[in-house]
Amino acid sequence: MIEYLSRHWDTVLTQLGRHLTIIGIALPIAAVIGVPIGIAISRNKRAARVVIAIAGILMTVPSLALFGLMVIALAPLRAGIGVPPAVVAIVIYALLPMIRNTLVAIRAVDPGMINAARGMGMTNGQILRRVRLPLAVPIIMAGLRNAAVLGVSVTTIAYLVGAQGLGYFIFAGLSRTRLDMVVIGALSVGILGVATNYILLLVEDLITPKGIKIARKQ
Amino acid sequence: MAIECIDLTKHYGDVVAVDKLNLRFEEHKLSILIGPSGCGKTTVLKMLNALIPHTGGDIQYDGVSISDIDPIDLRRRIGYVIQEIGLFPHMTVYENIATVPRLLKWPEDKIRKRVDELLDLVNLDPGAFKTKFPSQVSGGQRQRIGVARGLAADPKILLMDEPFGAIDPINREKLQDSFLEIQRHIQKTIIFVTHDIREAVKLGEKIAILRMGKLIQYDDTIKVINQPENEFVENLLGSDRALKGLELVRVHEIYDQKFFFLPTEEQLSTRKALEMLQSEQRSFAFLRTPKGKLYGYVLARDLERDRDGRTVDDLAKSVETIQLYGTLMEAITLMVTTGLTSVPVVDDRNSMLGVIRFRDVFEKVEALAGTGDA
Repeated sequence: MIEYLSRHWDTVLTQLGRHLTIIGIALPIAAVIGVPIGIAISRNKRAARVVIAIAGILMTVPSLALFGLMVIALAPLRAGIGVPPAVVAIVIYALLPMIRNTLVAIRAVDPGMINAARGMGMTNGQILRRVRLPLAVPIIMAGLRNAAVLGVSVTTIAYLVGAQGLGYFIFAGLSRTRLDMVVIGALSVGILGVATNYILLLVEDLITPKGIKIARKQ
Repeated sequence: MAIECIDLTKHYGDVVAVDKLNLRFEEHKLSILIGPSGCGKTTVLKMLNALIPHTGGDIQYDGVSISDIDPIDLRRRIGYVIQEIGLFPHMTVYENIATVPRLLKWPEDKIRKRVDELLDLVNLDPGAFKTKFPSQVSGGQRQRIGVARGLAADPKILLMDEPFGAIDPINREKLQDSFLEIQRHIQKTIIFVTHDIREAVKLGEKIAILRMGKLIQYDDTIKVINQPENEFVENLLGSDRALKGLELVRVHEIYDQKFFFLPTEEQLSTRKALEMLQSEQRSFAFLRTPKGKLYGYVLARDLERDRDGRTVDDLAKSVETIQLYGTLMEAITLMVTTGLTSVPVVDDRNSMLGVIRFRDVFEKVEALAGTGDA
């Protein structure tokens, strides 16, 4: 394994870069779609139930099948192979944690506080921007971390739709019965997952309002 | 600004939460809305700032119907104070208080001045508190900040929904006292919702009693106590109704300016002091410094028992005092806790002005109890 690494470290770095590219494109898209959906459905219980159910069903589709479906679905756009189907599949997976956590976070704000905000003359938009969203940051970020870690492992399968990534070592290793390659693939995906989670924790700490952090410590 | 409810009604489907309420909240007065839970008091309050739309009748601000006022605009012009939970945890004390001024787009230096002024008003040091977050201050302090926030844009009207409800009894008393003090300065039109009759009697100039959405009685506080409209109001006031009236009577109304001091003589012997007390037929005497400050009292009983030739000062006991604007309720509480039938009345420099006696307080109780039943 050490020998493989020393000879192919450039391949490891290239595939790591591709893996990160897919996640780096997919996660922001999932956040940009998921957070507004979460906010939009927080006012309507029925809409919330329906959207959460749909996102839940999408998540139960086996990842392998979802990638396959994406290849077929995107084929007419001449984008059935490579990064596009992988990105779309990861976005779909990441949506549920994003929507669900946003919904929970927005709803978790104390009604007394919203009552106070409205009573002081805030408009709905101001209540959302100045009260609900700042208070929702920790829970929404937890959703993003959840989605990111999920994305890191699911992106492994993107190799099968021609998007490359760290899945290369696993699948190529399996077909060549090269155990060292498989272990390198598995290990690097695991390390990347932990690292992503940690980096997002730092980001979360950076953007969580100070007052909430102090309140949580007590 | 006076507020008038005219046949004000709120229906939730078939349920009538507020039923044809007619009531005028007077300018510069603190009016209480009280009643058991579900009586509609909070609903009325929330209709006043359009948080809940009314379904019948009207609310008029100096004759202008609430339907003709933009609700957002209206709320920014009315202070709103709820339990401490209403503070925003992610904002500093400064930002919390600045909420409405910022909504009104005041320039920041005007806001800064106003926040300092308000923190002073509610007895919190601006330097120490401005940058703190709500979670870093005590419950009582949070509530003071809530009051400051409600007053931020200098509204003419203040709506308060059980603001002191979550505070422990001792701190609640303190908050109520300082809030009364603040209201003496600011003279706002205040509508105050509570379910605590003691709080109502203590704070309210007028009390509106609601039951199942209907107005039962609306009168000056003393009149509610002396002339309860019916059995429901009597029960609400409780069997100690007369005692509650003591919250309304101030010490300066019935205290006695005559009292007995021992001469301020150094090394006054116990025998001489005892003779003086016996010639006046008193069981105790107050003691004061040459400058006239009260520092204690001495009992004739203790003087009699003394065999060691000690001085009066050796036998002196420290004493609890009350000020002219204290209530008879506070006076009687002091009497019960100290076991003394007279409590010295002092000014804020601790110079003695007189005494308040148990029998005078009791006469007042009898008078208060009597008028209602006559």
